[in-house]
Amino acid sequence: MKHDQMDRRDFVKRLSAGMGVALSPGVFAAILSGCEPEPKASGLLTTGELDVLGSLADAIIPQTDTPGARESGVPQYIEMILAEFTPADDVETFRSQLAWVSSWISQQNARSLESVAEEKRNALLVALDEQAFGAGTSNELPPGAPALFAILKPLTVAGYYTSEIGATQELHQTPFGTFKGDIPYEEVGRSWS
Amino acid sequence: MSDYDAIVVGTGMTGGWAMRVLCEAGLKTLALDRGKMVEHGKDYVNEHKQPWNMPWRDGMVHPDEVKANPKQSRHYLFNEYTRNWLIKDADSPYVEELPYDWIQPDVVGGKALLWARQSWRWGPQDFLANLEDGHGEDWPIRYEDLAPWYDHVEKTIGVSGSMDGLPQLPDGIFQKPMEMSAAEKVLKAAAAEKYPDRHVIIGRVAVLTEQLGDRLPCHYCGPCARGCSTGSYYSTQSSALPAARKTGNLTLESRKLVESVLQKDGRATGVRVIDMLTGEVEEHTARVVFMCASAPSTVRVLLNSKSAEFPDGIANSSGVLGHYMLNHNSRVGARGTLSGLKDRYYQGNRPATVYVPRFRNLDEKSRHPDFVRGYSLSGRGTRAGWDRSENMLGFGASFKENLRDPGEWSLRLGGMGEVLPYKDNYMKLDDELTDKWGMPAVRFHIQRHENEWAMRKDMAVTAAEMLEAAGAKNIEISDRKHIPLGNNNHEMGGARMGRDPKTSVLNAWNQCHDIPNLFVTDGACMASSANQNPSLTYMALTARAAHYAVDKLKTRSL
Repeated sequence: MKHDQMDRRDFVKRLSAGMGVALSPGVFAAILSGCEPEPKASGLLTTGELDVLGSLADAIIPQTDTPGARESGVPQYIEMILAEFTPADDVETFRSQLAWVSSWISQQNARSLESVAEEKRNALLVALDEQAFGAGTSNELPPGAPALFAILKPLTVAGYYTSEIGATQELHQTPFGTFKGDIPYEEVGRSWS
Repeated sequence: MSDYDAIVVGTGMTGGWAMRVLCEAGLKTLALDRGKMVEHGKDYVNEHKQPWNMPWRDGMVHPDEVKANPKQSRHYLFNEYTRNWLIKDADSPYVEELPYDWIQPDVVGGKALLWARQSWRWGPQDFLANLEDGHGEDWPIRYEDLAPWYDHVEKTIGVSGSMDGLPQLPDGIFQKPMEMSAAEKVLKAAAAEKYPDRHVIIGRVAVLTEQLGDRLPCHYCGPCARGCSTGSYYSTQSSALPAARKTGNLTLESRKLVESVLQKDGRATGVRVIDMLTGEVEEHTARVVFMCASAPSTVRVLLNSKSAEFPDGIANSSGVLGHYMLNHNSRVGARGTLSGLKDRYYQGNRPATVYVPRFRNLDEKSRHPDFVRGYSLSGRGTRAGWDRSENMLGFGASFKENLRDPGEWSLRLGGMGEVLPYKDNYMKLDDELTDKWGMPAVRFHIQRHENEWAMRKDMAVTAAEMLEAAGAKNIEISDRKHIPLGNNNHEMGGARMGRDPKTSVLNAWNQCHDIPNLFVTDGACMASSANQNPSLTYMALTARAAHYAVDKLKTRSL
């Protein structure tokens, strides 16, 4: 329905416009500027950044009986939002946050987020989620951890459910042809995308 | 000898009807539009496109485009699916003496291609309102004058709706209605119980639920404004244009900006036109001219048609041309959530809302102390989708599993209120600023007054009351009063109908008092706004006026 579609666009607009408020600026810019520049994949982000982004996105929406965020193109979607819709300062902040996650992974002597011990990985993600959406800040948040989820999670969600995979495999598309105003949910069994 | 029998300026909601009636009566008709040609079906380039088919996903518009179009981008149609059907800001400079959103389509078919398809008759009270409370001039027609034309238009365009038996919102000739959702049914029942004068009815929309000629019933894909190749909603392209073309009497020219109406000895002789692609000026003559370009565009052309006889614009001996501009007072309402009904859902995107017809100031009992006239409410009851997760805790498989099911039901209602006619709500031509074709730019001076502000408060209150009666929780009132009147699309007034040539521009047949072969049938003719979406009334007025003109031409008495 028209208004629902407008709400969805507003949702992403709010995110990209509000990044400056929601992201804590530049704490980890130092980490980023200390790094050697990596080759860029197709656009704004390096392959390494896209990789961390993909791991985080998959942690938020993993593969289950349907594909997860990475396979549906969420990292490329977020890269597009950063490149086209986000002020440069906020892009740098976001990249510094990814850099912090990379360095945290290294500190765990792991090569990727997936290879960090599940308990440790989960503790970090829970803490990041609590920090962004919970009642108060978590004690378990590692010192210096950035406010990453406030932006990353909603963008992952928006990117996933507006992708072909998210909209047609995970959720169901409304079939064309009939309108039924009031039917048992069990006849549908899935949210319309 | 004239080049044509008739010229129609504009091809939208009213131009479509004028050209259809005139062509079907055998008149050689020239229809002109400043917009680009959009052919039915083949030019609906974004119809059925999916969010992932779009360059920035799901209608997001690139910030560079927003920056280049600060005015048009204030409107909901300025999304990646439909923004190319709106004018570019650079092509339509205008001056806001007071904040005003002048949202302009830039396509043949105009707002008839882009409209929200709501199709309500006015009630008898609406044609009497000016007379009874003294705001504005008395309408020169009554409901009974227009009723047969409402019938004719409804039969032709196809309107789905229910017979509700409400005197303030007369029933019409309807195709079968669309169904309400579970939450909407709760709202309807709760309102009937607690507020018996607030009827919740299903929207009456110019969308087919049954086949009509070669137009197919709606397939409920949702976003009508991208164009509908099955012709399921009424548009110039789906209905009026094919009918007019079939007669062999239509000449349709797009990208033509009408600069002025040509005049001689108290009659309109044709129009002066600028070819927008070459800049060349053309003149076309005809026996009758219909202005159907939308209220501001029509008034702009008339004001720009100056002569010794009419130094302030053609047919403006009254001096009211450009005054008493109207619109509707909207973007105010309430929303809330309903717990329960978790076992109910719906299938398909219904191109209609539910609607609460006017219930204020219809009689002594419903009299409101703070304002005159009234408003309607419209809205929806739907279940939340994945975007409810914006502030939700959680991630991983359980989070994904949770979003697989729809969320809570929500109910929302928004108001649409009548705006009184005020002389100081006006538009005029700027002395210096022109568009790139040299046409003087418009200056807008249009605002809400005390009555509108008082009504606005009541809209939010009654919307919230109804949601509360339905058992909604988390009720939030929203009053987006910073959005100016023009954003509501319903441009009316500026060349109002009336009985007295000294105080109005048009007579009871939409004919200029001063110039008998010049008709204005678009929103400019409106002497009051009522609260109903105006398109059905515009179409009925146009059909009536065009048939009148045909009769007069046949008897050589125009």
